[in-house]
Amino acid sequence: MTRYTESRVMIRLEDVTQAYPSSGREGRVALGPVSLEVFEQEFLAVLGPSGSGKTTLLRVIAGLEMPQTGRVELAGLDVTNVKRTPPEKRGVGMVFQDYALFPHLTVWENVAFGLSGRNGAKRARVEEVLELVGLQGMGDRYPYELSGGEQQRVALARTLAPNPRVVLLDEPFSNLDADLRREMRSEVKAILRKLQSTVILVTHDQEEAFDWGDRMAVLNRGRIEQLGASEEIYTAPATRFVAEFIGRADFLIGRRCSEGIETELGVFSLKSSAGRVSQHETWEILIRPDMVEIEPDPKGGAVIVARRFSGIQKLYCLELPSGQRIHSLQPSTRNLPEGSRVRLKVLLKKAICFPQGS
Amino acid sequence: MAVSARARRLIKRRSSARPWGLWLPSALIALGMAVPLVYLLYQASSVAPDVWARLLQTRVPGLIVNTLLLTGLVTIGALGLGLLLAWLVERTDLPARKILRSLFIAPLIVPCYLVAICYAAFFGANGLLEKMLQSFGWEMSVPSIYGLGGAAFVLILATYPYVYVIVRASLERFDSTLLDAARACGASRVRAALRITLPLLVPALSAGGVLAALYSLSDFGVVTTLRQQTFVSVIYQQLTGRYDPSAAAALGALLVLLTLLLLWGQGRIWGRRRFASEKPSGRPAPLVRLGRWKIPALALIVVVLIAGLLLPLGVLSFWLVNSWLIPQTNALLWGTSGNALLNYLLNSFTVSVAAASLAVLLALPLAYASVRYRDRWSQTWAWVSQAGQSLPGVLIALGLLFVVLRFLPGLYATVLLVILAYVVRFFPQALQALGSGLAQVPACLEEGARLLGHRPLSAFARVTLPLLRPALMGSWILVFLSALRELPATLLLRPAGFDTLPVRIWTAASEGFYAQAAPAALGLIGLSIPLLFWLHRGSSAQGSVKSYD
Repeated sequence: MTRYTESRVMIRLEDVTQAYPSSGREGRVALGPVSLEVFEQEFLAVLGPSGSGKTTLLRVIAGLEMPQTGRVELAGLDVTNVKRTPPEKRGVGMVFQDYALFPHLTVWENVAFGLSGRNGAKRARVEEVLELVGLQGMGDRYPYELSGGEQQRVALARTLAPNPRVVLLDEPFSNLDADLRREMRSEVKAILRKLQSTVILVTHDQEEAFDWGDRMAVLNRGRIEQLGASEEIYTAPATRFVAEFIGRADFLIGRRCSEGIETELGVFSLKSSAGRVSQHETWEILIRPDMVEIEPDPKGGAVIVARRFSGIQKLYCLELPSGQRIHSLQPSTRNLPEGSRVRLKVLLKKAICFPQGS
Repeated sequence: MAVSARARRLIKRRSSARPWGLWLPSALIALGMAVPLVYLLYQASSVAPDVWARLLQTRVPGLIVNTLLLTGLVTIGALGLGLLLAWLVERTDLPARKILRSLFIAPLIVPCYLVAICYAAFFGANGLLEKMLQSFGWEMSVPSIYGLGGAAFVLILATYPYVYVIVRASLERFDSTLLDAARACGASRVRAALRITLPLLVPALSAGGVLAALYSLSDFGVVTTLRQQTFVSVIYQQLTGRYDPSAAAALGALLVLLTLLLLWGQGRIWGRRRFASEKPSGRPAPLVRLGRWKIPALALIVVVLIAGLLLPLGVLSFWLVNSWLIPQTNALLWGTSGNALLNYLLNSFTVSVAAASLAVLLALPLAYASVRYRDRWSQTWAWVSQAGQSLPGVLIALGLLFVVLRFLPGLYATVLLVILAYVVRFFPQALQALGSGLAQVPACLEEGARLLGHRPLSAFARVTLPLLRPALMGSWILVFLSALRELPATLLLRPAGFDTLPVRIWTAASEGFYAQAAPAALGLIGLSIPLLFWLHRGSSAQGSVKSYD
């Protein structure tokens, strides 16, 4: 976070809400109220389940939707009013989920679409951008003659050609298969870093979000549940939704006691957020599989009820005496049979807990 | 993925060992459908050179100019009107769009020859308009409805609904993220419309344009009524008036050539481009506010609806009332004599039912072969059998006439020949409707039935046929409706005294007994309305368009 404190704010949203008109979507509020600041040259990943308003967020910034309330600023300029600052006047580029390549135009014409000015300068710029994305010599093809990865590159080239200040990526990799996705991601990232763009990537893929951003925002039902560095979001989720949505999570039920929260795995201290604890009686403590250590022990309280092998790791499902189940992640080299008893240890510096029913 | 696709192809190739029981009938049916056209061309090739020379020097140049002028005017007019109306209904804040959406195809309920007859009677010399003006004491000359202008006007009214339906469906399925992308690339609203929307409508426009062009190339009723000479009207005259079959064959061959040129031209404009943008994005495109343009837009719509629908219906109703009021015509019309309306109705009904049933029955094996076994031969048969498509009814009748006179003189001037002409002419409609219906029934259902122990025929009968019922129904109604309204082939081939509803309307109107035509005309329209409604009820979702004339 500190990296940006002196930087300029590139995108600022203040209490923006956006509802779709009644036809089809029944006037549902798709977004908001949302407030957000994105700094110059920052890479922000926006993660959320489908229907959480991710795409709407981008469309509001691009000027393709006009928010009903709130204020949108680009580089300090108020652009809330779409009529006064239409999308074509914003200097915002967007790569769409299914690329939205113009099917009747060649690659070259697609990339040149956003360029104006002399033909010579235009040609030079198109060649430059095509080279940047590694498509030199493919200008004469039509979109349907390209593979998925190539179409993706054309979409990126078309977006980058007019030198946008802000680049918005709407699930751009979701149509590619897993290997290509990873490859394209690092390539696109490298290109955009080189151009020092300000980028928002929208995705529903956690791996992509973790790998992308300087920061990430978790969106749920049109609201930002948490905004921060990826590790912070993983280790210290602010809401139960974030805890459950990011990574694998089990919740251990416990009761408030004088030292903290008492569970069947012991008492968890809650020094840092003790203030919040006092309000409620029953709590849920976030347990991630990588926090749970297990030792074979015939007298142990937990039983291995299932295990799942996934290459380099094994995920053990453990049943506690109360019947509650939690998971433990172990290296594959460790082999514990199903049905055997184990002793549990939870490695926790600071428990993350949420009032039950929240 | 690649492996499985290859494996599937291999399996398909091995398992689709040609089923002769299907293949042989398909081939015979397809060849049968092509016989009249092929024989017509053969006849034309044996026309004496001096006849050709005479025709080419005298009639042909003027005919080509006349025909192309009419076709061009109608195509441009239908494209303009259809596009404008589709845009108004889909992309603007025009009031009452939902009602207008279906009202715009309403002119289809009146067959175009009927519209032409009404126009001739309304605007013509000593027509209703003149009488009306005289009764007010106004002496003024009414602009002539005859000739190129009038014929083009009526044909535009008859063809714009086809363009409208196709373009509207295309607009409805238009992927609006392409427009978003254009805006995000810095294009203004207008530039996005011109550079993205319009080019992507090209397939719809060209399909609609070709329909309109073929329609006016093959039209018989409008050009004859409004006295505009085209290939079709002249061929008809050669056959009926002066009986010169070799000249008719020669002109017919030229008309075939003209039609093929048109179809070839349509295929040329695509190039390598693709226009498949039809992926519903879920986000409706924003509506354009018409503002003060609302009034001219509504005025245009009112004019179109009056001209295409209300005027013909009004004229027909006027005649009907008249026929009741005048005792002689009343007796003539509703009496129990052989002229009774019921008789024509029965005639029309019988031939149309026979033609529709036969066409669907014959189309079924071909449709199945071409959809399920996508090998070269079944595609060829499907293509051959559609040779008659987009050819004027006059030419089908002509070809059939030549064949019958040469090989089966016993069939000449029988009801069976009329039915055969309908089947040959409307077979492509049945085939296409069945084919698209079959394509929607996944082959795996039938394969499943096979794996559960059913023989091919039983699997088809127990699984595919029940699922195909809507398509069977649709194609039957399509052919029935077309046959019910068919005019030129019936006029040329019917046995003496065998009058269908359209023939009755035509002969009564051409003798000037409009009052006698009215009940038959309204009966025809009344029969058409529920069928047309049935055919078009799903058309907004599927964007299908049906052609009948």
